[in-house]
Amino acid sequence: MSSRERTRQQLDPAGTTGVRQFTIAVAIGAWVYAVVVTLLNFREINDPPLAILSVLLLSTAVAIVWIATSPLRAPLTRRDNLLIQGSALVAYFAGATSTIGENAFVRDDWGPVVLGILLLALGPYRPAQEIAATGIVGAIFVGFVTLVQVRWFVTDGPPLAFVVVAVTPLIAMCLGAVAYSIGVVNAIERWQRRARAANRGHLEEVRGSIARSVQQDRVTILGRDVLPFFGDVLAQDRLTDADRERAREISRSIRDLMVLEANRSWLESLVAQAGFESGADEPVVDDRDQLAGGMSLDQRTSIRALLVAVRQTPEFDPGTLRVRLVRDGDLRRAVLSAGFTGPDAVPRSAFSPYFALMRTVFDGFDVEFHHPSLRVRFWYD
Amino acid sequence: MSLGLPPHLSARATSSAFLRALHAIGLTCLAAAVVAAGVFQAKMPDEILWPAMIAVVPMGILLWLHGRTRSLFFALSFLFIGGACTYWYIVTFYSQTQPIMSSDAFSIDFPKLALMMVGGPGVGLLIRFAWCAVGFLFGEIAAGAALVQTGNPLQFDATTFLAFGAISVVLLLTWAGRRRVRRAQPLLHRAVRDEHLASERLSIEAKAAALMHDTVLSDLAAIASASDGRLNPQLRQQVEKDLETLIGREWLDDAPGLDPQATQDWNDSTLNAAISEVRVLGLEIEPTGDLGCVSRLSREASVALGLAVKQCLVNVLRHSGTLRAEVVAYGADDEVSVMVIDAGRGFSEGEAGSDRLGLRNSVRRRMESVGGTVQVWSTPGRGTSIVIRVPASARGSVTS
Repeated sequence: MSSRERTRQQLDPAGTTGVRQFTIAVAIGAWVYAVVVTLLNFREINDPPLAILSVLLLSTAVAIVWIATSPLRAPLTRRDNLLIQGSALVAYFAGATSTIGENAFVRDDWGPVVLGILLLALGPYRPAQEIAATGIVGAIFVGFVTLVQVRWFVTDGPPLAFVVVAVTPLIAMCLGAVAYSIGVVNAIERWQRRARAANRGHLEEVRGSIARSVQQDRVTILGRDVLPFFGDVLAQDRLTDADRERAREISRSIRDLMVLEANRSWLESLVAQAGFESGADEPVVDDRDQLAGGMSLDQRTSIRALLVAVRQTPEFDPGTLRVRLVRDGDLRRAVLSAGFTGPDAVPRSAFSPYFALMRTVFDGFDVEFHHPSLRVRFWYD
Repeated sequence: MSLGLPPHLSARATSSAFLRALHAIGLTCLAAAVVAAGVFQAKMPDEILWPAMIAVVPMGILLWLHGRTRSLFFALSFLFIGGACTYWYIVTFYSQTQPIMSSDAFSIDFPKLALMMVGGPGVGLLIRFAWCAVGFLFGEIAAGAALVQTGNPLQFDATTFLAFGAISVVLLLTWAGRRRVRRAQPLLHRAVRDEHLASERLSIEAKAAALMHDTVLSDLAAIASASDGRLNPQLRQQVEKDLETLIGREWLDDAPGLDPQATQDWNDSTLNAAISEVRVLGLEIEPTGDLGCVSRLSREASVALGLAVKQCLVNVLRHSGTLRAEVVAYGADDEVSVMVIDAGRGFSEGEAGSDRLGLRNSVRRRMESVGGTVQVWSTPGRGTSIVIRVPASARGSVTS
């Protein structure tokens, strides 16, 4: 798994799923604004194919926003951002070129506003530096295109003033997105530092009681055979064949128990603890190569959260959960499936925050969720 | 864990980040207002436009102060004084010649937009929205008064109205989105806590299994292979000691009062003690390499390493058919490695011998519980090498 970038989406994948509707609505709003402004100024268009191309390119940028912000495709990468901003910038250029020589006013150009809105929309998804860099490149480009058009504007004014009017919406929204990104990321990181410290403190507090509980379990096992046997051996001070045979017998039974314990993974303990029922001839967890042990704490946590969420869903059909882990070259692949009953379909969004989290912590992730069956695949190295 | 803020903090953080964003946009608009006025003044030196540039300065200062303090006083000051400054800015321009007013390069929107970005004190997106609405109102009143004052007709300002609409939509959508995720967050945070506890329990169980192997199984094996007659005093002593360990105290707790992060030098190290103990049992052991590097290990890691190496050496004694072993220690920048080598009979991975459980519980799981790794190379007839790696503090950061 690659290291995380300082974005809200990567530090708070579940929380960012709630932001998606804002991002998509804002991006679509920007598209509608561009189309309306283009239609209102259609008399200025002297190259209709370029104007159409411009709208199509902007549609592409909005479509990429829609697709790339999906929790199932998280995280939104630099490449996605460059594609979105690049498409929008080329759309702006095509739009400006389609009205070259006829563009009367700078203030009714949709380009800077739309570019700014797209930067603002991606504030939760990309790091502040990248948003700033993209905004600066966009502002320089918009400024240059505006400067070229000054000679055709119908009102008089200093060229630099036209540039200021053109680039201000873009720069303002870019800096707004930067400020948002920095603010949210800092708040999350501050909370995570505090949560880690509190968690360490809590673990210190409970470690003793966990140790005592584990010890009690062991002492109970030992109390059955081992402790009386050792007591007898020490009391009689002599060893016989019967003692040696008894030692071998106890050793075998303890060894069997320990092998069973050593083979039981955290995942098996978790599903047993959460109350998932195994089938008649099929265990809930099929992990023959003991691959579950290779998962990081974050990966385990994301699976635990999803399993608990599935378990708590009233429509979940107990006994249908299966988790299968297999090795595939250097990769470890897992398939988690669960069934649901009832007339009402469980919405995919019910599990979106957990999918977003898994998508972030695993190297690969995809999900098929067609009521009544949920199938999640993920892999890691 | 890559979890974001819990719901009660998320509202505050999102609201605060929005305030920063609003202020960044507001300050950019004010900067643009100053630059626009400056550009026109430079182009038209006969006009008196510099007062417009000065009018924007108090607005910028008050907005900045409001961002720093987030107080009601500065929010209201920004609205009232900013409203007056906006009036001043527009009047300055509208008092000049007509060409400026009719130019597309001139905009009275910048200070009005800045007023709308007040954000206000308090927490919550709906509060931000309310303050934006008040800012919008102040901007419109200031602009209307300026237009009336300069004898111009009132006009509908589509740009400011659209911007207000856009901010409203953004704030309301974000508010609605957060409510939806709020349901999942408690479960996620509980999962983090539970996983930490489960992981801690797993680690303690690994320690318990290793200790069980070192004591109970080791003693049972010694009894099973002992000769007839009186109980060997060494074995008696060992069984008594193990019984005392298992019953007498909390054997899974680290010694109370000792810092698990404290270090041990070679002479006091568990590794040195382990080698001495197995020597007594009859194995000839040659420790070589950078033995001092174990002083860079935390006490917890040092104890685990010593017990793991002891199990490896006991395995050599019991199963390898040789009475000689070598222990080589070497330290890298951020880890310490110890290799246990014997030239005995070796074993294959598929062999179901007692070594496997010992290796698994007493060596591998024990070392994994302190972040270490274990690699085993063994071929029947060619001996065995076991390399244990364990994270250590960087060179030079610990003095033994």
